[in-house]
This record gives sequence, structure tokens and C-alpha cells, in this order.
Amino acid sequence: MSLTFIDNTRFAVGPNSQVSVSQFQYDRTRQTGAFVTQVDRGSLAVVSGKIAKSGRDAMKVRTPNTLLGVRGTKFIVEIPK
Amino acid sequence: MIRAGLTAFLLLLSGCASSSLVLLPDDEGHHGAVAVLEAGGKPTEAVIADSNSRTKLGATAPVSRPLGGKGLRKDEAALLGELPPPARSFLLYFEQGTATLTPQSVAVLTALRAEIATRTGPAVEVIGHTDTVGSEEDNDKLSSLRAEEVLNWLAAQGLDRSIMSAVGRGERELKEPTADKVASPVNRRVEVIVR
Repeated sequence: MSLTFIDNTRFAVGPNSQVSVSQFQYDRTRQTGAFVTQVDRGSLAVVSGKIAKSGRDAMKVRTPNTLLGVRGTKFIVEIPK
Repeated sequence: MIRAGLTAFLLLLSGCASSSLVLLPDDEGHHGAVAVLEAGGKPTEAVIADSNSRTKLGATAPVSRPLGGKGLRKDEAALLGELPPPARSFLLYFEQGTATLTPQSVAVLTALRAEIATRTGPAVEVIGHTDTVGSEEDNDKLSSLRAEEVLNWLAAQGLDRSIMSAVGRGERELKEPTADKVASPVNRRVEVIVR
């Protein structure tokens, strides 16, 4: 499953994954916002968009044992069973 | 008591054994970074900045290892292959004071339609703009008219209106900064973003 957010962030969610967006705020005019995603199980590929660029750690990803601050990049988070 | 202890131990074990991060350069080859703000409930200041690396998460001082010759695992490569294509933006220009496309921009409509057709589950954002000729209020209306003109054309081509949105921003976001009451063909535009 894959999707593109309005700030151009792109996600691909792996099989048998549990991923939730706990916060998504985006000001289309100013192109700033806040984005928090929780990955509890499985895998998530991310290409960050304008929110991540809008401020330091404006985009965060939470896993069961860490909180990550995304600083403009492409990455995969994996939480195997 | 023992069972509770065992469960806690197993939870702890599964928590530690698991999360990992693969950091990659983006499609333009830019190298980004991911900060570890918290690990195991403790704040950290670690930053993972080595592109093409794999990092086990959970430690306050995580160690990144290069992906090396083995590269990505099959499932990781497959997951990356599933990422949607990057958003693409199209610019259409208008005749002065109207919602009539310039002849050159009519051709862009065809390219726009083709791009939408290549995507699964597309979403289309249409944003209208004007130059600074006329009042702010009139330009708000004109920019909306321009955006709707493009949206209506796409709808007439069979595109579902529910996947499209149109908005006018008047003369607030000039492509070419000008004084008030200045005609500018570059500013009389509609931007269409396809995701």
C-alpha cells in the first residue's frame, strides 16, 4: 500500500504492518506543518516532503523503542515480529 | 509474579531485538539524516547521517553499518518499488484579465491528462493566480475562475471531481515579483499538482 500526502511526503507500507499517523498539520500557503507517524509493526518506506523541510524535526516517526526526527531524506523503518 | 516478570522480559527482548533504520539518498541524490530524539525512553542527541547504511535502533549511541555489497534485502527493494512516483507540477498560462488559456498552454493540458492517467489513485490540486492588474478582490475571483476552468476541463475529460480541488490565491503569490497594476504573463497562471 502506498500514498502521497499533500506536502508531497510519500509512504509505502509493507505487508502485515501496523502504521498510524498520529498528527498531520499542514499550512498549504506557508508550506509548514507537523507530522508524527507511529510504526508499531512491519515496515514503512518514506520519502519526506515539505513538512520535514519546514522546521527541525517537524516530521517525526515513532517506533516501539525510539523517536526519530526526519531531516529531509529517504529511509525505511523496520520492526520485525 | 514469575509470569508477569517473564512477560515483561519478553516484551523488553522483542523491543530491543527489533527496530532498524535503512537510510538512503533521495531520488535527486541528496543525502539526508535522521535524528534519534529518544531511545528506550531516554532523550538522545544521536544523528544517523550515513547514506546507504543500516542502523539498529534502541541504543542511545546507535552504530550505522554500510549496506555494502549485499545491499538491500529483497523485501526492502520491493517496498521502495512501491513508493508512489514523486508529485509532478504543471503550469498553465492565461490571457490578460480572462480565464482563457494561452494557445501554448492548451498543449500542456494534454500532457497533464496523460500524467494523471499513468497514476493509480491520483489526486489533483489546482491553484489559480493572477498578476497585479485590477483590484485584489477582482483578482481573487479571477484566480478562482482560472482554477475552475482547468478543473472543469479535466472533469469534462472524465476525471472524477472528488479527486480534484481548485483554489484561487489572487495576486498573493507572484511568480515574478512586480509593483501593483503591472501586467505579467508569467504571473497569470494556474499550477496543477498531480500526486
